[in-house]
Amino acid sequence: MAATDLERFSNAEPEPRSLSLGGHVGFDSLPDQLVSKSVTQGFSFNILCVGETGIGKSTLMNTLFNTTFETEEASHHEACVRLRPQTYDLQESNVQLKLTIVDAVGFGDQINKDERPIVDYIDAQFENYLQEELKIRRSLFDYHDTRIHVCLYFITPTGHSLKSLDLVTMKKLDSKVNIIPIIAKADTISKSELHKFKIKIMGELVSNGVQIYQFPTDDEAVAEINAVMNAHLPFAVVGSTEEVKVGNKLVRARQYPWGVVQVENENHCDFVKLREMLIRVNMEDLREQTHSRHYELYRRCKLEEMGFQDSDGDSQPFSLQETYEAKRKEFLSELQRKEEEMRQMFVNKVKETELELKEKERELHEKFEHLKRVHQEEKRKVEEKRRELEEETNAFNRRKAAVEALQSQALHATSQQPLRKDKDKKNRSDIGAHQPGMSLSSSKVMMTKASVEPLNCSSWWPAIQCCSCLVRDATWREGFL
Amino acid sequence: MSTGLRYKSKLATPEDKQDIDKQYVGFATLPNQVHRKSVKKGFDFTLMVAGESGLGKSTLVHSLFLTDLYKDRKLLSAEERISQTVEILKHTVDIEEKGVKLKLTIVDTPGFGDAVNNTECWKPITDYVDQQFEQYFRDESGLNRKNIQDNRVHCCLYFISPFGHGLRPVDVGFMKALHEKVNIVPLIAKADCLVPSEIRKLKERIREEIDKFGIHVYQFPECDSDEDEDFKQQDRELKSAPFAVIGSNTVVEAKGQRVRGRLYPWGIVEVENQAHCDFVKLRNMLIRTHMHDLKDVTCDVHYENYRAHCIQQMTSKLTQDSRMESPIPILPLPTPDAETEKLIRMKDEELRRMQEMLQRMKQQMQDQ
Repeated sequence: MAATDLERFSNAEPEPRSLSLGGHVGFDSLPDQLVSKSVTQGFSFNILCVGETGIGKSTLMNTLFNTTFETEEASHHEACVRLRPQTYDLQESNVQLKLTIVDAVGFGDQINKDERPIVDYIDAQFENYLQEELKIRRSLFDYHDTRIHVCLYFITPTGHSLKSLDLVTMKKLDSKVNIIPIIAKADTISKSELHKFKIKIMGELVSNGVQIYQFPTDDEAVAEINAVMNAHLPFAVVGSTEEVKVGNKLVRARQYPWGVVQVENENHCDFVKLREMLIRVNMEDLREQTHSRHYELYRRCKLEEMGFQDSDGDSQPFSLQETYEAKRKEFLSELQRKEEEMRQMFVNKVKETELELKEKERELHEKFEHLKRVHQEEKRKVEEKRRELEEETNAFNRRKAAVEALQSQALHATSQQPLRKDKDKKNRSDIGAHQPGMSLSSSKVMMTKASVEPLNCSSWWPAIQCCSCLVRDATWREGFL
Repeated sequence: MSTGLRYKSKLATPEDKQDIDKQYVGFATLPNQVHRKSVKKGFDFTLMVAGESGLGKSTLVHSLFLTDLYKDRKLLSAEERISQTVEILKHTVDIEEKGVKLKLTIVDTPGFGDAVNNTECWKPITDYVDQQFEQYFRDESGLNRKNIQDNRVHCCLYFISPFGHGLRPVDVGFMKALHEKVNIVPLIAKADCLVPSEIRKLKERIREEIDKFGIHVYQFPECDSDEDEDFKQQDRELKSAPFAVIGSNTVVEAKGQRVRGRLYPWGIVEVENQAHCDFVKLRNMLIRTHMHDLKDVTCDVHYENYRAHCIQQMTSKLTQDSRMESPIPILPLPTPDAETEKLIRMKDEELRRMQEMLQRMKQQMQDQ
């Protein structure tokens, strides 16, 4: 007994036994309860339309939902791709549908084409949902789900093959959203060309590994029709909101000079098939796939990126919150460390610059001193020169005065003395005049008296010459005094 | 005047006839002589087709000239086209009709606008056009000018996608790069996806945008007043540019007749039906009436612009570096550039100063 008990608890849960009921219990109404609940809640559906400007995306939406969604015509000269979501509330026989149509405006118009804004938008919607899911207080039942459930990719009907941009974009989007490729404006391709074109497109998609949405074939109720429809991909559609009288009915059609293309005529285009598949049969499946496949993939990648794992090394399941907390702490400490580092670096830098500045200051100071010294040197030299110059000018002036004085005296004297003696004495004076010391010997007394001022000797001799005669002269007495 | 003379000559008396013979010079036969000579010489025409792939260019060329120029053409898959470069392919055929020979060259530009990044994807095309001009320039300036091959592009048919709302940035870029070098004739391709009201709207849109961006497309010349009435009528209708065309390689049975057209579950599009598309107008304009005018405009306008630009560049380079040899004799510049003008002015002033000084000196000498 104990052994079986242990068995029961230690192994995995045993297979549930299927029993048969004795009577009618009534839980077969569970689906109905589910349905009534979801009807009261209302449904939401998000469609993304990707295609060149003017390819007919808005017209097709109007045709599909049989109403006019007011969208203004886009220009070809948008600088970049932007996504424009618009939400509408539709109602059909007491079922409410919150429909969001997201338009990729400007796709394929730029010279250098870019598909990244679309991918970013889809990821952003997933991110919003993930954030809501990870909240502590969350209200998922009330949350307006903006994740894209289906992407209608509009292919230009060139008749040859896919464009390079189409291939690149679909490759990026196939793991994030359900793609349904559509051939737009299909009234420009004849039947035979269309068949070849479809085969070419599917071939290219398969060979490049693009996974488009396959209508599910596991539910017996719709398996058959879905399988048939899968073979008709991509759908060649024509959209129109104008009504034309054909026979005696008004149908939605396009009127050409050569005929009328009816939108709902299966021979003319695949519009009916698209509507059937997209809205009437598989809408719920599209939503489910988005949630269970694409969203889960995104979530797993994102969380793995953040460093979470499903189980630790010793196979203990981690609680998300604990790991989250640990990550947060790590992150904050990392942040602090970085801050410290930066501060250190900043302080070091400041110190370095300070030192440099001080160096420069010192150099400048030195230079200044040097210049000052040089300047003073120069000034002194200039002063000396000035003094010398002054001395010379003074000497010159005195000589000049003396010469003048003597000249005037000589004029007086020469009127009374013999010229010859004068001349001799003058000659002698000329010869010996330049030695002041020696010429003093003959008339010492007068010399010494006369040498009060340092006179030039050439001016003495006339004075000495005149001394004997000047005794009687008044002028001598003046000179003597 | 001539009609009067002709009428008179029917009732002329022998004397009058002699008078008329004296008055009649006879150069009214010149057009016939020109006709004869030109038939003997033969014509040539180079047509370029450009536009994104899948717009029906080769089908249209086939429909226009009723010959298959593109045998065994290899179309690239989408993957190969992601980073494709633009090639230039030339196909030449000799066709003859009622004794008149035409050497037709179609220049194809596969890969234009197909890559994901189409920056400057029109550069190989402009280089090709310039190359043809340069070659003609050299030939014309050479010594032996007897057999010049004229490979200049006379007309460029540019295909605009009908799936959009007007001109796209790559369309505008291409046309702006080439409108001064080649006669551009814009076309709306695959017009069988547009109902008549949409065609009108799109044509108007495109005409507006062409004006807005300042693009000079080929303008049909105003016809003279004494041209055929038919011609005038046609001319007025021709002003419905850009043409919305449909091309077809196949002949289908419609109302008991075999016509060139496309078969749809909802009807048959006839290529040559004026109510269905403008193919007939395009064909008439391109081949039946204006082919020679396109050639003339290329020679007189685009080529002359290129030549003048080329020579100016060469001579301005020469004045900077006089040691370089020029293969072509230098012609005087009609407009000297700013630098030489400045130099000239400075030299003039110096001369004037010197002259003044001389005069002053002379005067001084005279005074003394």
